[in-house]
Amino acid sequence: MAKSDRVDVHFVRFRSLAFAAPICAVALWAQAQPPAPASLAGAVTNSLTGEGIPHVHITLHNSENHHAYGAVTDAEGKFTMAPLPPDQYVVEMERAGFLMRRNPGYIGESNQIELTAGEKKDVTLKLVPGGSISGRVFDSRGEPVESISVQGEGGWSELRMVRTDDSGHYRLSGLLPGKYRVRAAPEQIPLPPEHRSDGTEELHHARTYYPGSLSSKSATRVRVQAGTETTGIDIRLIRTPIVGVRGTLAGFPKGQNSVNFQLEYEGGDTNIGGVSKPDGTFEIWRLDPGTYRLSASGGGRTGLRSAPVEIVVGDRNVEDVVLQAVAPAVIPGHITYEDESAKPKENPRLVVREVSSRFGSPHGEEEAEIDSDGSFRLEKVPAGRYMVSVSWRTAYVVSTTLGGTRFEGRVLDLSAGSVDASLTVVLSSEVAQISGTVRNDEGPVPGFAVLIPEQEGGSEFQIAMGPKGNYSFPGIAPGNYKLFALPPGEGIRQDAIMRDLEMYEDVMEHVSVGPGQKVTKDLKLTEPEG
Amino acid sequence: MLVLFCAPAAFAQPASLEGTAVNGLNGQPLSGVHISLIGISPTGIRDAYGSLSDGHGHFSVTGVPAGMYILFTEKRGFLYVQKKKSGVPLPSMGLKAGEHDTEFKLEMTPRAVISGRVVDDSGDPVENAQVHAQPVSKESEPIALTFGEDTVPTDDRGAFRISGAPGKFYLIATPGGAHDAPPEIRLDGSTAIVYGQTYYPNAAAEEQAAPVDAKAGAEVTGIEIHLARLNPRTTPHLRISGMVQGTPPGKQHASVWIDHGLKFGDTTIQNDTVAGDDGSFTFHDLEPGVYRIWTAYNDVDRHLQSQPLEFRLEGSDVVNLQLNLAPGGDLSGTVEIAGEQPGAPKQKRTVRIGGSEGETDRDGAFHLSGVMPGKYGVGVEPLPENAYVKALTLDSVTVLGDRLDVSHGIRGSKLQIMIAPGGEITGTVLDKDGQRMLNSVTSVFLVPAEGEFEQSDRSAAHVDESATYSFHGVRPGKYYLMGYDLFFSGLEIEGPENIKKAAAAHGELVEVKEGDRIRRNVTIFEEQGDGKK
Repeated sequence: MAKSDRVDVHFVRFRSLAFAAPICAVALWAQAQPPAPASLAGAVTNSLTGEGIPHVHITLHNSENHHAYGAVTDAEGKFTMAPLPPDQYVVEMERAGFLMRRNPGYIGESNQIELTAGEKKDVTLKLVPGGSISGRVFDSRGEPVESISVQGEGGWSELRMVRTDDSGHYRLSGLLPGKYRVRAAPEQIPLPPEHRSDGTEELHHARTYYPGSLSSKSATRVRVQAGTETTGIDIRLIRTPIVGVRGTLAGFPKGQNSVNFQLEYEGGDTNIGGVSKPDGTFEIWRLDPGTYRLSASGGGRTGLRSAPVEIVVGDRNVEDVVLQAVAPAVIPGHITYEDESAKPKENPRLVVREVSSRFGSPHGEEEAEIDSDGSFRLEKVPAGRYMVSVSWRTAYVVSTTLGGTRFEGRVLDLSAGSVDASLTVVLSSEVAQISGTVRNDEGPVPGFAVLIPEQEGGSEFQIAMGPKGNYSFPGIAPGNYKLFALPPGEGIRQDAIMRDLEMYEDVMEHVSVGPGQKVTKDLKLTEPEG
Repeated sequence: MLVLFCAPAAFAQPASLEGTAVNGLNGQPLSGVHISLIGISPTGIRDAYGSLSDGHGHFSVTGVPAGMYILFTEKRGFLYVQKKKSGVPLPSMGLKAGEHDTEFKLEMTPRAVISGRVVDDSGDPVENAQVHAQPVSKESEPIALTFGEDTVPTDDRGAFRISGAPGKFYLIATPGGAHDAPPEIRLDGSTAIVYGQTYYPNAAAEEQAAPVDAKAGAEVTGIEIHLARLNPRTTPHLRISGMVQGTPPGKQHASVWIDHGLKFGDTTIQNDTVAGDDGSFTFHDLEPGVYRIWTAYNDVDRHLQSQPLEFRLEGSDVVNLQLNLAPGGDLSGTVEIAGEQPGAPKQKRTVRIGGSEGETDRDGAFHLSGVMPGKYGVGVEPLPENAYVKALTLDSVTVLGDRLDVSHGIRGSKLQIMIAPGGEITGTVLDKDGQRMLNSVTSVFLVPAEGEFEQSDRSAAHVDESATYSFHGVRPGKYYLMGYDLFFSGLEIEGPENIKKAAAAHGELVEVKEGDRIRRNVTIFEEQGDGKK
């Protein structure tokens, strides 16, 4: 029954797991009576000091019930909840100034508590006193900046944005212990430099990371400890010239704001506005320096997209960029099976998933059914770069050939669309497998295992998790992979992890698997601080 | 101030704004004030013109084209506050062609600060509550340009700090977290306390709120907001549940939507959920009122939908609702264009109803399948210039207009779409001096003088860069034509009722007959003072 669930998804929600306790199995056979009620009692303590915390609001959720059970700790931090139906529960706790830990080892298995029939469980639940970061923001002249938004980056959750006061001071609070980047981002009005005739020049600053870096990669990470304020985290904004990207839209409907612009940036997508004009030109102003992939989409029903264009924003305007609309491609094709075992069993589908090779955040996905003769037809695939895969696990994609061009591996480049070309996909049954156990110093613990192929630059992200820490990735293509473990929690934010990938360098495992090979690798789950 | 009326070159003559930035409290000149005039147009913002005040507080913005501008200022510790005088929610000013203001006094107001914290019944701090400073009298309160600083979250000590324009404010705290979380079960006899939106100091309603007077350059501290409990009787607790019938086998589930409102026919989308494996669904914690519910199923091959059900929810739950998925119906018919020769081959046109479309053949006949129950606007493309959908005849019942009501489903129905030549109205929008309304946010409303007015894209038109507007394919009838400018015409008019009243009061009557081409210049109406209608 200890199966691992593998999912290829963008966002994973933690599901409650099936339990196999023999006591419960016996209880289920006794159909006439409901199982004997259980109870949960104990205390919530401060993970630093060990003291009980009063007025903590505790809620227990189970999968069945729409209503949660609740309780509040007394002056000594104690509570009792009885009677409770035996079940698997997820515990949540709330108290201003405190945070729930996100790792196993505190309440049995992460935030889960299992209550069996008649069990009177006694627990000590722990909350971490939150940490904080404070400092001041200065502009390039050394003047304090008022009302600028400051945000922490790192960890699991979306962190609150705060604004500086009139002395440029800010404070980020409610932080779990760990390392964070801190960034200050001025509001940008999407206009070219303002006209001035008084001899002065408009002062413009870019989004800047502590202490004074334009990119998140070279930013210094600030260490936060439980219940402590890390002070003096001052940010000096970097002055940049006001530059824009200008060009023309080819093949799109003309009109003011008739297209949407998508700008992918190494730090995620940026939401600076671009303007398209009735004469078919466009302008995007006040971008921070860096490398972007720019594309336009429009035409509503027609689903036109331009092939993404890479632009580098520096000191000068980027001119004459042409965004050429490419109609979605219709691609007929067939599968070639290197061997019989590569053939599908039921409901076979070809899947193409869009990737951005540099920035690692996937977008759309298209599917096509494969007929018994191995033929398929992909309908309406927008321009872009794709990873090709199939819906069954006993085969992997060796190569693809579109028109006359052959691509090794699974990458299908449709940046320029495709007209009247047929796609051949070669499959082999020599799939590989990587499996193992997630462990900490004491032994196996539940945790997510993350698998990222090396060659495609982190474009595909797979997660597996088993109830006792075991994981398995069957049916993968041979090649080189990166692997690491993540603690269980509410969900996985793929984009946040991809952006912070270097944070896991210490624990990252590198694994090579050949065709038909099965490799076992245990993954270390590091304990969080606090 | 010199304004040239007749010379066309006047439109090209730039304006300028020069003067001194001063501290509004003590009159002292302020250096380092960044002033920026951001141009406004119907389609968004245009160029910006700016200046930085020198050691004497002097600034100069020149070469500014005539038009309307948002006045944006920056100086640490200060705000530019303006009395609200138009529909624009930001400080603004208009410059006429050749206007040169050399003595403008830019009064900067030192920021006012309100700080405090939010606590619950036990006196414990509340983290992540949103605190908002709401002006006591919205209409007469002055406006300033701030980046959403009037609403801030409380930190880990429950503390908040709001800085902005001076004035009298209600401080409103809204607890964070899920507001639709169902009431929890307590096993020790205690009651789970649910807190709701609270006005300082501890009131659930504005009537008991105490205003806070925030003065320029000063900080009001110690504003402790004691959260008020949400009245359990007002907590929504009703339930709607039932089953979806007719889901095709497979992994895909149907989705169920409910709209909620106070009266039949007037509901807005409230919620949606996915039916379970057996087709069951439940909506929890609903308020009494009118509900409209339907379900839809979509996969690669099929689109199924149920007929919407409308009913009233009062004191008790509604359970065992049955929603039946069915494929859409077939609709065939003809497009008849007035004036076309009966025998001649007809142009191919596309008929669109809801999500279905079909093309007409040489006889003008079309066939649509998969038309779901509902109410739709019927579209035909392309239409001859200025043609409009005059009437629809569905199975021998004729309705004027382009709205097709097939809420009760269709079964092999026949639809005749009658197209006739409509009218066209074009012209220029002028100000009260007879000048074109350039570089502003100007629009023209076309409101029927009689009968129902349904606000739509066809009832208003923005002007283009040369202040020209146009309406095409106008249904014959009597209308009010009203020119409206966001800066001059007073507060924004919202809602079909108010637009109708304003049009009758300020608009010009125009009668449109089939085939008319009407040229009519429109003058915007200007409101003075507090912008009241």
